[in-house]
Amino acid sequence: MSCLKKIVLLLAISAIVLSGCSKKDSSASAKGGQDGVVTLTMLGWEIYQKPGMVALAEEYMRQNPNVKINVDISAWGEYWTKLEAMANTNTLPDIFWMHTNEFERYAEAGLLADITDLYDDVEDNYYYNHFPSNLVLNATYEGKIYGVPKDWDTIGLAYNKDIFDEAGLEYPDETWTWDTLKEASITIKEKTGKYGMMAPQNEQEGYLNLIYQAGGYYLNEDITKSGFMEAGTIKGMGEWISWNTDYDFSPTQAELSELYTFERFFAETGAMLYMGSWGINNMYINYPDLNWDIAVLPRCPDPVSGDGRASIYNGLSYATGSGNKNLDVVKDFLKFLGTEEAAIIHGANGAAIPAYNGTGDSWINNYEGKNVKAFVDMMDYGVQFPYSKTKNEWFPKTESLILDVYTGSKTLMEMSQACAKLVDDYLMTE
Amino acid sequence: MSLSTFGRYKQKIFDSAAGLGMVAPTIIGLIILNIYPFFRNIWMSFHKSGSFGKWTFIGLKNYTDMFSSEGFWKVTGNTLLFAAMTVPLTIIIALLIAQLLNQKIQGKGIFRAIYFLPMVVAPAAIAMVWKWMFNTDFGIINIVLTSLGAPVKMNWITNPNTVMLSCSVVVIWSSIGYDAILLLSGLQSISTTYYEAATIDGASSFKKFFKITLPLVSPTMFFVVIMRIMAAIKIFDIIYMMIEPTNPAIKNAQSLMYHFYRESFVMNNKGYGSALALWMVFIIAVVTFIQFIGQKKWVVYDV
Amino acid sequence: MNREKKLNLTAYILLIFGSIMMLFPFLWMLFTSFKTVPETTMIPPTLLPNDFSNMAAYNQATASLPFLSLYFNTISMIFWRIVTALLFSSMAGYAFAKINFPFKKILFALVVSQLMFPAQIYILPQYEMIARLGMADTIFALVFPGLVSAFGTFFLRQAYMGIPDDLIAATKIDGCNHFRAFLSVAAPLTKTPMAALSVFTALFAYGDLMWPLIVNTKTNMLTLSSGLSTLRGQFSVNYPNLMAGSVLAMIPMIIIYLIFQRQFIEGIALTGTKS
Repeated sequence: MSCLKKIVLLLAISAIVLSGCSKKDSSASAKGGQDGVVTLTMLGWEIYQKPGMVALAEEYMRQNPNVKINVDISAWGEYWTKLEAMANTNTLPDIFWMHTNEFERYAEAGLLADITDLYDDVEDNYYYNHFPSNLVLNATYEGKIYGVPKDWDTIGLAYNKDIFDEAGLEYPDETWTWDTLKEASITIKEKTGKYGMMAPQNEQEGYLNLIYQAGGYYLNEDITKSGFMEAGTIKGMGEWISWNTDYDFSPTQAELSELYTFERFFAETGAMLYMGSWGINNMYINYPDLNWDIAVLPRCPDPVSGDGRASIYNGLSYATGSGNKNLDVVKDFLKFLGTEEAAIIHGANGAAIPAYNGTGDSWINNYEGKNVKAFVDMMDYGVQFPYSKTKNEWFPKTESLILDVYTGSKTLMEMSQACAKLVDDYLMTE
Repeated sequence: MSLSTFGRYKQKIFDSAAGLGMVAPTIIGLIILNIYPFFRNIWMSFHKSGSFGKWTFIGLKNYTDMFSSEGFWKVTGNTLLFAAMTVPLTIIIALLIAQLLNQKIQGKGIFRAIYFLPMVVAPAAIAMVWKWMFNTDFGIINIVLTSLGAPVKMNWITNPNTVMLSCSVVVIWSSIGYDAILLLSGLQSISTTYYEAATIDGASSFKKFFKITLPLVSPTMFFVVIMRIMAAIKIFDIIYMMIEPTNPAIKNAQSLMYHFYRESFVMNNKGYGSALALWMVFIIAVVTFIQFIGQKKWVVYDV
Repeated sequence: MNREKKLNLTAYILLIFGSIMMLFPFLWMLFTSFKTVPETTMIPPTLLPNDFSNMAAYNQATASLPFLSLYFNTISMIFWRIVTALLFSSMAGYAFAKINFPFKKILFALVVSQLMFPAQIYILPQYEMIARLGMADTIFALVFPGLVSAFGTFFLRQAYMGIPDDLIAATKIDGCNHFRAFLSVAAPLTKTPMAALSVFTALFAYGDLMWPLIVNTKTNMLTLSSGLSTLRGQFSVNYPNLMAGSVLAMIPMIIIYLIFQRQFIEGIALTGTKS
């Protein structure tokens, strides 16, 4: 009967092989080690904020030697695909950044931990006392708070002073309108041969600002209808696209998809671009020779309604999964992230404008000699970045429709109609 | 020891136990990893995936959506066009290389190693370096072409008319070595007596190639053709790494797999993704069927 | 005689020209990895970097990706895929070739049918299984689709078919002849096909992008391929960084290839002719 034994032996080898390769990576998941150290992972999407995140983790680890925090960065283009996969597989990071585009989906699915009472032992109404109210609202779903406000951002006009000098132009300021921007861009192109305003297909750092400046909107107040067919929306969208397609002061969309506005700006071949406040840290650190500054966004000279001013404003938050195994430890770290102390560390490392009220200067002070205060000033007329529950599904489709206008296969009106119908259909299902 | 009835019976049981035991891991594995997923995929294609693993039955909607979508026919067309552009060229170039390597030349091993090199490099890395070489303003290809007197800089990967060509070049470049190795081993198995006899008859090398080489290498070639077509229909990595979603030429470059990835994992439309996957199975089945019918016309198994 | 020489000269010229075309992208990758971003966007452009000791791009690439983990993950994935493919496929291949047992035809048809289907249709359900098992972000998840190999089974069956039955019969001593025959005669005789299958498995596991991209999402659990995709996400068109990452991802496989070049190529040639 040695035959049976050998079958058993072979199957046993197979089993060992299987178990050998199924060993879980110990550092991948948070777990208590022998010495009681809890390892947590924090995930974000902006590589240039990593130093800020690491500084926060280090400060917390100094105060809590039994906790170890690893900072992981996954680029925006993959972040949501990955986070969704992690949610599906119950492997959400211990702390992750949450964005308004996706927040409601995660909250509705019950994936986020309720941290409404996180600060109850500190003071009543802590969130609203210390953070701008719409940042708290961005992390609120059905009356419960699921995220600690992290930072906020607006969009500004970044420009290269040397190119402006070369073209003999005055630097941009708050008197600028769309027309001033175009005239300056044309002059720059004529005098220096370099690009003026570089206008790529981009939502937050692009057409969205112009839509609201022109008095249009993206989604109505109660998120039941899209605004793609509104006169102001069409005006703003059309203006933004025309900068790219009707003038030679901007690289074409084809050129920009090979070498984006930022790289051209860093290489000093383009004079202006719209940049989110989160982008300047990279520029400041990695391109010290670049002579740049920031101005508020030019306004719309003849808006359909309103005063022609707007800058898209958004805020992120830190969240954790409702099924987290070390929820107590994670909550304590989250609590720390919402303190003034953490906000100042965050700002002083240039990560982004911290959400905690009155700590904006910690960020501004990083950039001596630069007018980054413009980002903070634009808060006065900032427009909350619009979102809806199914935005992750409809947004890529609108992007592809808008791209058709750049390539000339659709007119502005055709695209607006198609987008309006598409988004309305999605909103109906919400 | 004579084989009694009992002995034969015993032998049979041993054989059965040994045979079933030895195939068991593979069969169980295939059932778990392939057979069940296949049926699960069919089930998924009749459902809509909600957020985070909830499924609702929607009947044939994924299929009707798919067949009535303009984008779907475009990506199917792109994929077939892509196969049509890469497969014949890859095989012709590979056969040429194999033929050259089959001559009496020095350094055969080095050449072989060089041509095979792309196979040992991750396609992700290959795609990135080619994307950089294809760059309109700073890519080496345009730099060389303009210095040779080309009048305009080509937008290799952002022009809807050239994007497929550019991706094809990369795929051809990275697979000719592999195919050449396979074809070379086919060529080497051809007995030299055929050529000697033909030489005595005074046949030209041109004639020798078409009358001897091609027919005798055709079984290997058939295998290579099947493999290449399958690979072309499944193309993903090169396109995924070379073409950004904001590339204006994306509509002319998206392949079925790229579309599948975006629908399933970016837009989280997994039911639709399953329908797309089954469509790919259908295409591969049809193409393979045509191949097996067609092979009778050109593949020579016995001489 | 003269004609043959001429032919050889043409062959050399063509082969050398082709070799340059094959090698150039790798050189360009290497050169770019030592450049700075402004250097890559200079007009007129330069072929060679200003400074071959400029490791800035390498520092940035290694700072954003834990390359040691990526090497480890990739090697582990390849190793286990080879081990399981060899073990299970050789057992099954031998049984299909040399043993009579019930349902043999049906089971073999099942194996062959799997050669026809593209692996992509299994991805979503396989991913779902990994998710349910809670095994995402593990080496096991990377190995999972390759645990058994229909191709390997088919390929090794062909190899065992080539072993004469007499050789097997000669080892018939007791009732357990098949195992003894498999372990002591058949398996050693098929070392070359097994090596070929290993090379084949390794190359495809190494190049696979979609599965690792989906199933392992934590940075320290990526493979080299999916790591490069992450790098591209982070640095978009910062080509020196991307090329430095590519060079780092390439190096181990190139070294292994240069050492075992003959086995690689002959193995691949074998997978083509045996099928």
